[in-house]
Amino acid sequence: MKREDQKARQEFTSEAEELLEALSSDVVELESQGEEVRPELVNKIFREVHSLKGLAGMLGFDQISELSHGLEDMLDRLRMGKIPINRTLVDVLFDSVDSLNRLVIAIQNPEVAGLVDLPGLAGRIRDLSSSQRPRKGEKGLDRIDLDEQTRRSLTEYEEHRLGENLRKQRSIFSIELSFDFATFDEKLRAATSVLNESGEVISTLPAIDPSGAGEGIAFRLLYGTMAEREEVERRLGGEARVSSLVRQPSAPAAAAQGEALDDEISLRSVSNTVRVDIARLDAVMNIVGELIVEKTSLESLSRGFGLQSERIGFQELNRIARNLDRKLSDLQRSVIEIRMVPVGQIYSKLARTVRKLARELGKEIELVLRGEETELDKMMVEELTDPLMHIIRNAIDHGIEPAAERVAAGKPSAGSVVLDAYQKGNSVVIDVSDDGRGIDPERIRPVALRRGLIEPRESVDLPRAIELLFTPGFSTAAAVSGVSGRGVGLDVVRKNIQDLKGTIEVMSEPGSGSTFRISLPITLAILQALIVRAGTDAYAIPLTSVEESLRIRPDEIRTVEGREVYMLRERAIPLLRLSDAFATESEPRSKHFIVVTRSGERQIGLLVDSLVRQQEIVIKSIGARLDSVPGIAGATEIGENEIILVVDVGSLIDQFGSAARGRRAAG
Amino acid sequence: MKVLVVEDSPSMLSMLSNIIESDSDGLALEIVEASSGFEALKILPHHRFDAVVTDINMPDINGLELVSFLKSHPTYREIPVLVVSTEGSAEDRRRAEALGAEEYLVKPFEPVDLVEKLRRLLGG
Repeated sequence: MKREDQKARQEFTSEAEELLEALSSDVVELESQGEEVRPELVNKIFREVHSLKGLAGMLGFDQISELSHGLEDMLDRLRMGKIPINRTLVDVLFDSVDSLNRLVIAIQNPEVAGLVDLPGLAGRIRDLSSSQRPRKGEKGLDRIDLDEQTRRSLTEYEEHRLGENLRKQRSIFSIELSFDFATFDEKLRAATSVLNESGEVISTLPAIDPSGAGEGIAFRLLYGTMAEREEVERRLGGEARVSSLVRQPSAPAAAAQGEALDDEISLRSVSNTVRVDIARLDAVMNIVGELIVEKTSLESLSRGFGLQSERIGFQELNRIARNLDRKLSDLQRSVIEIRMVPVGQIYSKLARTVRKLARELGKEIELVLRGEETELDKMMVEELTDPLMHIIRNAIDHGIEPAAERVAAGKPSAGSVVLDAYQKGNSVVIDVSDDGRGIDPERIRPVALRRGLIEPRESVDLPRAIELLFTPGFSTAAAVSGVSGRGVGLDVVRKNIQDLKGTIEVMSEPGSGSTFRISLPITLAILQALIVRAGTDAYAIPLTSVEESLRIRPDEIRTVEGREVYMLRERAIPLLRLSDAFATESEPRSKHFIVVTRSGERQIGLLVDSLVRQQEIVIKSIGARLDSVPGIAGATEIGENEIILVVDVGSLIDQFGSAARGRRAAG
Repeated sequence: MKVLVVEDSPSMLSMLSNIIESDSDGLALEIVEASSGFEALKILPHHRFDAVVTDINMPDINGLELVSFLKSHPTYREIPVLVVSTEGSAEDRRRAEALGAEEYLVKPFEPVDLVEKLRRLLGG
C-alpha cells in the first residue's frame, strides 16, 4: 500500500461519500416506509455499510471501520429479523450516517473528528443489537423442494428470506428465464422489478442456457408471493417457466396447529389476545412520547401566562391544540392497527374442517384460499369464523354435486370452493364461491311451501328463492344430511353479519355455482358516517348503511296505506322522519333530504332537514340506560364538544318497518 | 495468465487489481475487472481465465451465485475461484467451500496473503 497510498485515499474518500449519500437517502426511505419496510431496502442499507466497512478496514481508517462494523452487525441482525425496526433504530442510523460523514471529512480536516461522539454512538448501537425480537416459530424450509445445488448457493440472508416468505404463507415458485447474452442484465432487472411489485425475488441463480447454443444465459429465480402461478406467468409475459416449490400448497399451517378438530365445537378461538408486532407498539409509544412533549409545552405556556403578549400566547395555544389533535388521531389509528389481524388466521381452521367434511360426505373438494393477508379487526375475524363455516358447509353439502353428476355436466369431478378476501374502500369483502349446481328456485319452492313460508300459488324466482333461504324457519339442512345447519339457518348467519355492521348478498348462476359475498367495515371502532340534521339535533348515520341521499319537495311525499312513502325509480320507499323516531321538535320545511338506508335486503328512507358532511366517527357507548333504546348505536363527538347520536339503521327498520315488509304486504 | 476480479466497490476493485498487479512479481498476470456479477457473466465467454477472484456481497447476483454458476458450468468448472469477503460470515464461507470455491480470504487482509492464495490457485 506504499505507492498507491495517496491515490487509494482519494478513491476511498470519493466512494465513501457516494456510499454515504446513498445510505442517507435509503435511511430516509426506510423511515418513510414505517412498519412495512421492504426487505430489499434493509439489505441494500446493509450492503452499503458492509462495503464501507470493508474499504475502511483495508485502508486502516480505524474509526470509520469500527463504527461501520458495529452498524453492520446491527443491520445484519435487522435484516435477519433478529431485532425489530423502530424509531430509535432509525434515529441511530441517521446519527451514524452523520458521524460517518464527519469521519470521512476528518480524513482531510482532522479537527472535525472531535465532533463525533464515537463511544456514545457505539453504545447505542450495541443496545439496539442486543434487543430481542420474539422468535417466530419454524421456518419450514423442509417443505420446499430445493435441489442441493440451489440450496447451497443461498446466502444465510437469502435462506432467512425464504423462511420469512414461508412463514407468511406465501407460495414459493421457481422461475426459469432465458435471455440473450447481449441484453440479459436489463431484461432480468426488468423482470425482477415486475416480480418485486407483488412479492419478493429471494435469489437469482445463473445457469447454463438450456438451448445449449451458447448464445444465451438462463436464470433460476426463487420467488415468494401471494399470487397464483398463472398470475406470475402472465406478469412475466409468458416466456418464463414457473413451477411451485411448496409441497403442501393449501393450508400450510394446518400441521403446525396440531390438535384434531372436533366439528361440534365452535371454530372461534377462545383467546382474546392479539399477537402484536413490536413495531406497532413502538409506534404507539412514540406517539405517547410526542404527546408528553405537547403537555410540557402546555405547562410552560401556563407558567408564562400573562408574561407574554396575548397574541403570542394565543398563537402558541393554537399550535399546541393543533398538534394534540393530530397526535391523538395518530394514536387512535395506531391502536386500531394493533387490533388488525390477517384474515388468513382463520383460513387454516377452515381448511381443516373442509377436509373433514369432504371426507364425511364422500366428496372431492378443492379449497382455494386467497387474500389471506387482508387485515380485519381481531374481534370481527373471530365473529366471522362460524358464519363462514356455515356458508362453506352449505356450499359443500348443497352446492357441490356428487362426482358422477358433475362429470355428466362436463365439470371436473372435484368441486371447487374459493374463499377470497379483499379490501374495497372502507370495507373488507369475503367471497365464498363454489362451482356447484347453483341455487335452484324449483328445489327451494317445495321446501318453503312445506314450512308454510309461501302461499301454494306463489311462484318463486331466483331473488325470492334467495330471500327464502335467509328466512327464519327455512333451514332444512339437518333433515337432509346432518352436516349443514345444525338447527341454525342462514337467517342466523345474516344476523351475525349484521351485528358486525356488515351485509351479505348472494349471486347464483344455475348450473355453474353460487357466491356468498360478505362485506364488513374494516373496524367497528371507527367508521365513516354521514352527519345530518333533523329538527333541533344532528345525527350520524354510518355510511355502510347509506345507499344514496337525495333532495325532495314536501309534495313528493305520498301516503300509501297510512304510511309516508317516496317513489324512487318506480319503487315505494317507506319514509321515517328522523325527528319523529327520536321524538324531537321539528318545524315544517319547504325542502327535505331523504337518506336511503339499507340493512340486509330491507330499505328505509330517513327524512332529514339537511346533510351536514361526511366524517370519520368513533362510536362510544352511551351507558346502560340508553343502550336498549331502538335505533341508537351509541354517541359520538363531532368536534367543538358537540356530542350527537349514532343511528343504528338495522334496529330502526326493526322498529318502524321496511320496504321489504311493506312490499310483501302490498303484493 | 488471466485473472477475473469481481467486486462491486470501485475502490476495492482497483485496490485488489493493484495488489495483484504490483505485488505478484514473476507471475505476469493480466487482470480483467468486473464491477458486478452480471458484468462477470458477460465477460466470461470472451476470455480464457486462469482464476477468478470474487466478492460475496453484491447486488443482482451475489458471489455465491456466481461460484455456483461457474462450478456447474462445463466450460468454467475447472477455473479455480478465490472468494474474498469480510469476516463475520462464517456460514457464507462454509457455503462458498461447499459450492467448490478453492480459496477464501477474509477482509481486511494483508496484500501478501492475497498474492499467496492466488499463487497457490495458479499452481505457481
